[in-house]
Amino acid sequence: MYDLLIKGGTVVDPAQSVNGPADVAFVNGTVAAVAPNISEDDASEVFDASGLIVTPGLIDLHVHNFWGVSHYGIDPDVTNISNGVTTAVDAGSAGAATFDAFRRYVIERADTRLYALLNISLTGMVSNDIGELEDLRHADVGQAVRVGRQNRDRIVGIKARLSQDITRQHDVESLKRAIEAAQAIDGFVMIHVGKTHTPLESLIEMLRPGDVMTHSYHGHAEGILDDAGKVKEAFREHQRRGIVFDVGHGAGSFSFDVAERAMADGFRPGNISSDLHLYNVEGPVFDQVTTLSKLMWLGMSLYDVIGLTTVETAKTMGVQDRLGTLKAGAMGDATIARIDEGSFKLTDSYGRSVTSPQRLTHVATVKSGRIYKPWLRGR
Amino acid sequence: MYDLLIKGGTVIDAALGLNDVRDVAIAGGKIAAIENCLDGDSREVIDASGLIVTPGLIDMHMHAYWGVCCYGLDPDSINIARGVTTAMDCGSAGARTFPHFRRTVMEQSDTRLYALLNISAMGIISPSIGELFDMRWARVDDAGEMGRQNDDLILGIKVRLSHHTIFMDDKLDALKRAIAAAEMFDGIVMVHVGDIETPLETLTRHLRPGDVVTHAFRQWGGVVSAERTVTDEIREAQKNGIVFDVGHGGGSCSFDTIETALGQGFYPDTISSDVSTLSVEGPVYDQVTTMSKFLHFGIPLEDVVRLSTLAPAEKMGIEDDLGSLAVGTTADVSILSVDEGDYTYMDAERKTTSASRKINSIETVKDGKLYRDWNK
Repeated sequence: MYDLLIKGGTVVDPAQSVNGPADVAFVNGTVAAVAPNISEDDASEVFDASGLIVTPGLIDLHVHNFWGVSHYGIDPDVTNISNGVTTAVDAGSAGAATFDAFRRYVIERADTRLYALLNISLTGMVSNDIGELEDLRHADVGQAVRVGRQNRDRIVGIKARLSQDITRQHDVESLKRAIEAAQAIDGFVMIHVGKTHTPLESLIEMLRPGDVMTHSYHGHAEGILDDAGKVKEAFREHQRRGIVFDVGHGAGSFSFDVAERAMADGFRPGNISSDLHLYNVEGPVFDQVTTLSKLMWLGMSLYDVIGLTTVETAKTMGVQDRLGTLKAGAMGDATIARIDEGSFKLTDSYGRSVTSPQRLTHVATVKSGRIYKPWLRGR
Repeated sequence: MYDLLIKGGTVIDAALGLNDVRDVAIAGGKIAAIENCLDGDSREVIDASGLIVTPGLIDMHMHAYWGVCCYGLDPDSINIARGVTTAMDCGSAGARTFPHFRRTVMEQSDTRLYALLNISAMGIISPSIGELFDMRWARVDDAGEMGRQNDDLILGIKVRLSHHTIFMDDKLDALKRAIAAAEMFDGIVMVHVGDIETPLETLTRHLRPGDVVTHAFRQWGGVVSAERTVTDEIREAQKNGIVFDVGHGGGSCSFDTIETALGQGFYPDTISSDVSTLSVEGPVYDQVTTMSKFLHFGIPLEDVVRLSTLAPAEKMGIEDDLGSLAVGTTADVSILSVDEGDYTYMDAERKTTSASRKINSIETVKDGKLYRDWNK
């Protein structure tokens, strides 16, 4: 007997190369089966997904949820699971000095599965105008490793924000320390780029396969394009050697112009994330499905964008055995969405709007084998 | 019908001028009566014979912002579970973090918590890098506005001025900003002192009556000068209403200074613990241990209690309802014992002294209810 059956939808699960009609059954909080024509009589609850898309629970690799301590922080559940993101990674809101509080007050109380990248800065992202790495003493490897090890079930790596207004001239040293800490906890590094003090090429050379560069399509100085608007060969080479180029849309880091040129040049992202935070949740980012819609407008297929926010994201995090897929035995997380046809305005971080004939819209979320109902939070 | 009757204890209450055996009756969360012998019916009766009954203790300097402030302790297990019904967090949170502190800690705790907002917007996060090394954090308008919006709980501004929190040259600037922010919501300023290079007078000159110097009894930089005297200017400042608070802490209280100051007739205005992660496992432990040290050095029990009840209530501006057992006020009561034995106390200089008396917390009543932490 299944606890929940999602019936009649189109299942898109790139982890299993599934892209077609199928039913999905859940039992004891996990996925029990993906198969055609599972009988309704075998399930205590049935969700009719006719005409809808069913995907593994979406994973957003870059959000900010440390409400109250980090100025960027927003409520994890209102913005993630309520909009189809069952798993999210807070990217550097907390540092070693504040992570205990982030864990107790936010992670452990959220319905969304929350992971974190620990900021290499002790303080994390407290202020919106005083950079957390201006004083290099904040980049404390020992503390980051201690906290990272204690919380390795939730901390998947280290975040380093490397813009000049955050690091002054310390970007190379900050990144060195971030990598050292990440190595010690066997995690990955995510670097935030754009307006870096040191040329981006020199920074990205330091990254290891599996490390992530977020804000890949930013439109500031020090980006992936050369003067002719082509992707610099170095970045293709870094993608080939396993650097993950993440979208990390954000309030100031996603340019349709840059992304269009990069796509035209065959340079696709390795991951799609929103960088959803206080200053973009009311636009232009809104949520992860809107971010996915923008990548679809740029020419990517639904199947490809879902892969970059499910199985590929799970691999980057090292959780692909239980998240990012609907294979039997995985955590019972699924996102139910719909493709709306019409005329939709999509806006990037630089005020450029485009009109898209389709949009991905969130319909329902399944977390641990249950339809998520925000009004029953925590049950 | 009373809710609670505390019988046979020695009531020490400075506001009522009491140091004598009395029964204390509580009803509806308020003190209902204090009499020689009360015989009314009560749902619950505590026999306090041989014990001291005081207004709920007030610790006006501690750190309760668990998880964000490096010094933060769980507020209940350190305060109300040990006799302190009202505590003031001093500067753990700044304008940036205060709403979170309020929601996750202050509004959840059983201890009645007040706060002084740090003039630094980040408050105290890192143990190694001071909150004012970068003076851009010291924002008068942000702090003043946060204080105004939360003036039910924020009673003033905290500014920490010592070598591990700020560069020497910025000290006076930070103090002036703290005062300017406090003036925006009619709050007090508490200044944390602690450098031998900065005579205390250079700071107290700028303070207003009601402002507080904490860590006043530290080895260096406190009320006892480098020449080991309490200067006339410091005595004058105390007469003019500057408050000299103990704020024991892990690094800010010296038995030598206490003995010197008391020997020269200079008493603290308030006794507080500054208990934090650094000192909760010694040398501070808690407020009753801090009080015990001053008892040991010769301050009479009656005064030790006053300096941890009525006196801080007055300095915090909450004496109308707290800090005394006056009939009709909120029923916060601490039931203490003064035990005889062989005790060793340690100061923040890691010097020890042998003592024969120790104040211990036996029962605590908050809002008329016996506090039992397993019943939270």
